[in-house]
Amino acid sequence: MADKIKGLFRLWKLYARMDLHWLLQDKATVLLVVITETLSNLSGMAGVLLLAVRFGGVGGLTADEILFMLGFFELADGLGWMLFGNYNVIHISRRIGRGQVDHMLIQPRPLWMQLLTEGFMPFSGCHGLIIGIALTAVSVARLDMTLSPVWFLLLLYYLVIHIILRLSQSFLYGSAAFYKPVACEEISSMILDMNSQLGRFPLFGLPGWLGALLHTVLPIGLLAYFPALALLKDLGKPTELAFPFVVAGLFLTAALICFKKGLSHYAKYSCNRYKEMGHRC
Amino acid sequence: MQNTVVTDTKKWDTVVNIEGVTKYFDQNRPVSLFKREKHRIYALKDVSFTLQKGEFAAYAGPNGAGKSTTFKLLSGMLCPQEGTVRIFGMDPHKSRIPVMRRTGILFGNRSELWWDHPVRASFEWKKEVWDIKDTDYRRVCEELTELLSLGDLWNSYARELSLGQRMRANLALMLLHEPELVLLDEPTLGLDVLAKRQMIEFLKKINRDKQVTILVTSHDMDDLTEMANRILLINEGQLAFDGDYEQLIRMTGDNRVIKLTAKGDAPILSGASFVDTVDGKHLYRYDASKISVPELFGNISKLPMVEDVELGHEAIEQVIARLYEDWRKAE
Repeated sequence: MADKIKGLFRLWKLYARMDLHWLLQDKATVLLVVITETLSNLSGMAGVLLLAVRFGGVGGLTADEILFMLGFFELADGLGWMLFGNYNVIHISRRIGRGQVDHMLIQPRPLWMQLLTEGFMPFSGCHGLIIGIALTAVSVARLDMTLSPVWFLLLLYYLVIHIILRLSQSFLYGSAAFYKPVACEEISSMILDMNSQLGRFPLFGLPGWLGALLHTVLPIGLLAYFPALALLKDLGKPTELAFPFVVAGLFLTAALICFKKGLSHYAKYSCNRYKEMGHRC
Repeated sequence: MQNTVVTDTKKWDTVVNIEGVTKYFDQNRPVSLFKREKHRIYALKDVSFTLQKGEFAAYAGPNGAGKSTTFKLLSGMLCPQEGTVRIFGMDPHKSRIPVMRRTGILFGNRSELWWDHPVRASFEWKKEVWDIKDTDYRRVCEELTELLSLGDLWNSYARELSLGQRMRANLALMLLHEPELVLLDEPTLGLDVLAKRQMIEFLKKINRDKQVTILVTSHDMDDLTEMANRILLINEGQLAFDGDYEQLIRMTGDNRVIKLTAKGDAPILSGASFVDTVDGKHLYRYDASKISVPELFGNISKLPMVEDVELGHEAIEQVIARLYEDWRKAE
């Protein structure tokens, strides 16, 4: 086990170094990419924020609370992107659909270790995280919140839940690419985009059944709205804490099962040319 | 010329053992707008062979014969529906990690180089992922740099390399962990004559000096006879021949082709039979065991208007067709 943990850190270090090399090879292009990504991130949340400012809050939250929720979303999204954004790890259906899993299978490392480390981009992929930290800090100051170590632990807990939920959904639906590679190549991107678009909305006031649906089957409510309520309004009861854990756990389990099944299917049936909707050759 | 080293395989360890392997793929073929028909394609049908330590074998066959599928089975990416695959006595699918530590794989149409990084970065990446010791890394890098002339490529971005350079860099990267078994799928694909020559000489050297077991696929008969001391011919998923080049010649004749570039209709060439004319080049077939090349050139010199001459081996499809023809006659 110690060897595996050591191996993980060595690989993270390796991919961090590669990311830095990539960043330094053409500074102008990279700067352009970072600025574009930053603007894209900010514009993604502008709609909800402007509505909140114009009407003095939306969905049961004040404008500053909305800012906090959006800050949390950016923080979690940025952290997830920094950890898994490179080389399409988070967009796993692209790797599967393009036949790139073969490259992973010839490496003498467990797949889980490769998937945990290859996407690490601490230099070129940290813009979302920085925006998230800034927005959260501003909103915390405006709300005059008192932050305790427990609050920070709770923040970390919800960040992990957010990342697990997004990654699990990407892998769960992305595993379809093992069966129909070309047709499902972009399925992970679509799921992640949908999460990004809907996950920034406060869900207060929705019919009960719809709210329940958006916290379980399509768990966008757990990406920012539920954590923001918990962190702002002290939702620290055991059941409230356990609920996102259970949902994230179920999604993670389903994703692991489906990915493993998909990989077995690939080993048993897949081939570039013969499969209908097969790989592009 | 082909390598005709005769070896005592009994002394060697079995590196690859494929026994009764069948691999098929099911398809739904459209027969009308709404109707689909199930169709089963056999990539491999009851294929068996073994490779001993230090063997250099060519796995040859026409396009679609099942070569790449065999390589995917050997590398554990795919599992057979029937039969067993063993590499170093292990199931490559179940024991992927220990098998991959001792095996190097290179698919001709794919690159293991990191596209947006200098070639050096891919080597440093492999050092970490394969857990190669610093001293071994430096030694092997020095060897490979010299043997494959990588000096100038070291700091170039992988995306900037020509096809031949990329293949050389890929080959070196594949050999960095000093694999005992090397699987090469169409390594000469798209290479020019010089690059092809370098590649073949290098493969022969590591096979001779380090006893690396090599299995190489190609559908080019010229490359195969240059490279390997054993030829496995595969056709429509079945092993059609397993032996050395001399045996193959005894069975099919030493059939070669000659292309003449000449204006007008194809002239009659004594000692060779006319096959076809393509793009102004007249193709003839001759049996090298019956007529020597100097004799044939003497006949060509008597022909008017010949501008160019190209010699080569018969296409692998024809060799296989001839094999089947001989078997039918024997029956």
